[in-house]
Amino acid sequence: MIGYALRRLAVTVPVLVVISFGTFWAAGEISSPAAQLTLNPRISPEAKQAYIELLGLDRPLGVQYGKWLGNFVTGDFGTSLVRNGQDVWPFVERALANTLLLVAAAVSLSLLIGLAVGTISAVRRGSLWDYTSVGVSFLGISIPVFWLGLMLQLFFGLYLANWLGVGPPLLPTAGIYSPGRQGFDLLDRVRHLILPTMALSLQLVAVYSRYMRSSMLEVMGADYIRTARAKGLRESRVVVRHGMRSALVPVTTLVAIDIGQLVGGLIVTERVFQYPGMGLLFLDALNSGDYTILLPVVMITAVAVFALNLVADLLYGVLDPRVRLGRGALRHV
Amino acid sequence: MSSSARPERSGVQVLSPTEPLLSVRDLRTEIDTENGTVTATDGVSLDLYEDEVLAVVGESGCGKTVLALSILGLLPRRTGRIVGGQVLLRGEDLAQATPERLREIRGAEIAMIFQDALTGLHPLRRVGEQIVEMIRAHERVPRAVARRRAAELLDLVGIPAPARRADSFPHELSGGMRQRVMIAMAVALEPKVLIADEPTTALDVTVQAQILETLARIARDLNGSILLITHDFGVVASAADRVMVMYAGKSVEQGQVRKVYQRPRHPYTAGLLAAMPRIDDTPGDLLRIAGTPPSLIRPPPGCRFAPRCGFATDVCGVESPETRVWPPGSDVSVACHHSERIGPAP
Repeated sequence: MIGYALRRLAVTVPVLVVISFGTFWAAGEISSPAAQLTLNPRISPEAKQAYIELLGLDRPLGVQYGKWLGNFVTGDFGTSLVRNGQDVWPFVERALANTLLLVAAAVSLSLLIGLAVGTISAVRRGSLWDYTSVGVSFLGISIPVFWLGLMLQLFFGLYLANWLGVGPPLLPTAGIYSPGRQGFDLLDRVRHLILPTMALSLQLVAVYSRYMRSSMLEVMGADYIRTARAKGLRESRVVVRHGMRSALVPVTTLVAIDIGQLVGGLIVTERVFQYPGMGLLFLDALNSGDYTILLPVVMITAVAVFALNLVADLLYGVLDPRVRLGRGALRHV
Repeated sequence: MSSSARPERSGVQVLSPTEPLLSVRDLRTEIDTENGTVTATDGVSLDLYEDEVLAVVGESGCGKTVLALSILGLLPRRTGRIVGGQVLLRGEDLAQATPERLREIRGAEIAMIFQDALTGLHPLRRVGEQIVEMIRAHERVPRAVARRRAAELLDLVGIPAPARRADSFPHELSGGMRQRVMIAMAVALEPKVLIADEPTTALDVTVQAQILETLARIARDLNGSILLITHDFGVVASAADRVMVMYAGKSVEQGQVRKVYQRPRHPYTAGLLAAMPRIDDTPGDLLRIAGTPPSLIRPPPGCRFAPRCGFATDVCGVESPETRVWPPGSDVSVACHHSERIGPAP
């Protein structure tokens, strides 16, 4: 399995090179740090030329890219072109940590609710509970996250406090810290996490519960479930130990792939809630042409997608002993 | 349902030798299908005595599997139900039992062996663990003890290196080994009744014989009875004491295997026996019963076999034949208007 993992990683390297070069080239085409100098009348053409040479922007694109790549793989992410030449890594690191926290909160909450809802729906197929959860799920999948985010902000940040006649908003609607607060405050962090988590979770719960329901329905019709009942097991044990044990295998891989995509894919949610994660950093860097920040953000997103796809495959092998990951398996990459 | 009607738990009640262990009385079972509701068993009765193997034989769709599932209340929950009759285990009606009481009986007093052990065993759980679970669902024993017993059971059914094999997953075993695991699990609690639903159908012929032998040996050792569901008359001949022939949801003939084979009293039984290929047949000799079984959604009036029967007269198309003992004084019962006219298999 380790050999399989290494081969899979080797396959991703050329893809990462293509992605990074594409991003590098596109970022240079969209904007240039030198453009700002051009617009500034107080900078002489000579000073501008000197700056361009300092940054190496006069060299061929391939050479520029090669230099960046060489530094990148040795862990030197460079300095920001816009943020007064500060090191890039601390920005990226903070954004990544914030995003991972939000993803972890939303995914665990959604799993907890989604798996339970899906399982109960499958066991009680055709019941009021089942129809209601199907309806709510479709709603959850259909509602755009930006609109849901705005509604949550209005409700918890404004209306609810007004109706209840209490003073300050019940929940903060943006950022991760209350203004003016010093140091680490767990409760404050958690309160700031609630609304973005809710906005994100509605959709995830909808997807996970649908997936769990269909997976459970398939499993509960299997012969070995009948065997389990014929053994005289309690129905709860039949459902959990025999049914869910099997139904969770495909759901787990789906969730693993999902997490990879969420790491770089929270642009809308983070924008609505001004949540300083990878999505927000990506938007800022894109708008300011700060490609030394843009590149690591894109690269980390790509690596996360690849890595969690790999994790999903490896998990399949762990959860289902019939799956053997070997040479043949690589063909499906 | 009421507890007063329920006999004491196993062992306390003394059975007279003529009293059946398991008795199915006039069982009617409905299954919903896409095309309508099927009466899968339509007034089926059978008696299973101690220490005997009763085979239920019939072609696909005749209701034999539904009969087996009905006994333990294992019909598909949404689409199947018992609509009439009784399933009496030592006088206790399982058709009226509470889910909790049924759960107690399943595995411990009546255990089941299913046709395909590859799909019948949980694919993601080790076989030893599946046997341990069976034991611990009914007895309060420590896991280590249950594990030891599981290994002993695997040994009993003829699995080599049982302690090591207990850690195998079903897909790592051969078809015959898997079916042995299924048997080991079924006999773990020494049930009085084993229901084996086509236990050898998914296996090679050579393995079939071994499995039947194992099943018979263990049943003998446990003083248990077997209800053997099959479509294979060869299996019936080699493994069963008595046989019940089913056709289109009804029992058509019941009796000692030897007597029924020597002289079938129902034209369907006679036809099936005649249709069995023999080693000395010349090619093209194979007989078959013309036509196909009727739909059980709206079965025809009268005898269900009449449209395919060479002996049928006017009465057969109108009046459903009663089950009667024939010849009088024998232990063969048959549901045919013309039993006296049916000869031995040609």
